[in-house]
Amino acid sequence: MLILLSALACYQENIPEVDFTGTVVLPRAAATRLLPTFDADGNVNGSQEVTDTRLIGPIFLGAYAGIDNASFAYPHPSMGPIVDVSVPGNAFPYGGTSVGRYDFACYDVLGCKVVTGRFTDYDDVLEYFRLIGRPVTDFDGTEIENGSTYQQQCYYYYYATSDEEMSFIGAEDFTENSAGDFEATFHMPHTTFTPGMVMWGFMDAPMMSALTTDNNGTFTTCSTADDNYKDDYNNTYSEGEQVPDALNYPSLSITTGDWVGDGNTVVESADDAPVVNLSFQYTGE
Amino acid sequence: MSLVFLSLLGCDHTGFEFRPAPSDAPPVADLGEVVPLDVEEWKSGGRDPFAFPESIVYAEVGADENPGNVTGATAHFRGTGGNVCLVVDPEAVYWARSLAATGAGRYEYDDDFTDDGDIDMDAGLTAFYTGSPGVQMGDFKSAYTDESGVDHEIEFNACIQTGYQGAADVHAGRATAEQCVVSTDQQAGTEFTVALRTFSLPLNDSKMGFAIGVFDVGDAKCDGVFENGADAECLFPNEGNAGAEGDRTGIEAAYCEGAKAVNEYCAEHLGDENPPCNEPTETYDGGGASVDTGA
Repeated sequence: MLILLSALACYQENIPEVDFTGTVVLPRAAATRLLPTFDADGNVNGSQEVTDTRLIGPIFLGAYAGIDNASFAYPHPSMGPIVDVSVPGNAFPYGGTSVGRYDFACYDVLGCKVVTGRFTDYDDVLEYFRLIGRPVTDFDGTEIENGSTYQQQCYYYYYATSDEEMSFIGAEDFTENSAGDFEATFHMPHTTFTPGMVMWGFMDAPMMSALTTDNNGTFTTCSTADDNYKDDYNNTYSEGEQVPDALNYPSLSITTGDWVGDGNTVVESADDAPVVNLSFQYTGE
Repeated sequence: MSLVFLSLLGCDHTGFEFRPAPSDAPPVADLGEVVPLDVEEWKSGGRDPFAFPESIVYAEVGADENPGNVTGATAHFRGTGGNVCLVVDPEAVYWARSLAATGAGRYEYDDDFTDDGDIDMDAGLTAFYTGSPGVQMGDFKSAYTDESGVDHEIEFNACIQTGYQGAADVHAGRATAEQCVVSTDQQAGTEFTVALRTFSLPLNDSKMGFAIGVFDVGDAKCDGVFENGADAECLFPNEGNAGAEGDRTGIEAAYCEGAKAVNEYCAEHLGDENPPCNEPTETYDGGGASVDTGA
């Protein structure tokens, strides 16, 4: 009986699913932005060019049948037929993943603005938002000036007792390579492997202006309009959530300034360790 | 020996008695072409469903000899270039009895659920419909083969039924009207098919009356089809008898008046040969206990 049971465990289901591990590479320019500078009163008085991995937004990666270089002003996955005239064709990804995801970082002003794998600790978050001209404030509008206050708020908000419970701080995803570009490891689990498929993706670059800071640090792939609402006494806000179908209809999410895959990452073997280059910057139609 | 005995127990009934029985109602009906009714004409006409027989059609469907076959009906309309609102109301009327002993607007009697059917809508370009009208039901699913030879299912159904809160892809259920909006943008004059798929037939006679209305609503949705706050159930009366008055006419009218009228109607007609309501078996006293009413 035991032999029979052990034989059953060896049954090969022939499911063509593969867990891929690869590397996504972003050019240095993708992490380089023009940021405002401020006078002693906090008013914008100039600009500075800054290269910082915290300026890298969430990266969405998918495996597709092929690349369509004609339908958009950037390389885009091949699409199925258009069913609804207001929506592009479904790109039918074979699998997908992301490098970094949206996480609610304890204060309402940070909804849809914080991505995992970009910040080392609380002070790192506070320093970044000061840098882009949107200092973190509490629910009463008072600026948060030190990490310990921030930590206390997070422990209170999430009923947490350790920093390990905070997904938005910790190890950073990206490291600088020898060419001065930035790269990170990605894992794309349960991907339906088809020889010749293409791995492609895009980075949603944060809105950033050196002149007006109102929208600095926001993303187009995150929405505070739907669901995920919190009602805490007189505070009503949304924690924010990623828009759906970002890999099925990527053109609905890609906006000017985002970095897009070059479409040259062809996967021929289930043992491949694909390298996806997001080297194309979409600069508008 | 015990195995043989147990296997015999499994043969003590066939389950056939729970199958809907074929009747004079067709298992798959084709209602032909239905003309989208201008919603302003509908409103100015007093929302009288019997005044627009080209746009509001009453019909019946029944069971198939083969219980594995999907039953239902099809209707066809031409695209207007704008939005088309589809409303279907299946036999007869359904309410949920309130267990609470007090409270305004509560239904005291149980609905007779054996007179209730359920039918759902899909709609899309006729070219994508896989069924044969009047013969076999189909759907709007198709396959797309990508450039690597991998097949993906594509759904060409353009009729997404919505619920009370506007939630998409909702099925209202037993005897309750369904509605959806189909965009015919850039497809004026192109033929669309509505596939009405039977979800369940009434248990009492295995045939279901229903009414379907097709409205030209321009750029709007279905809101103008209904009077403010009106229950969709009250749009097409007598759908259970294919438009004629019958034994559910009274309870449907009472339902559209409100719970008080339903309670009174039920009290009067409990002794009928085919009563529209059931006596409640228990109610709730508000203090945490169920009260046996002794019915």
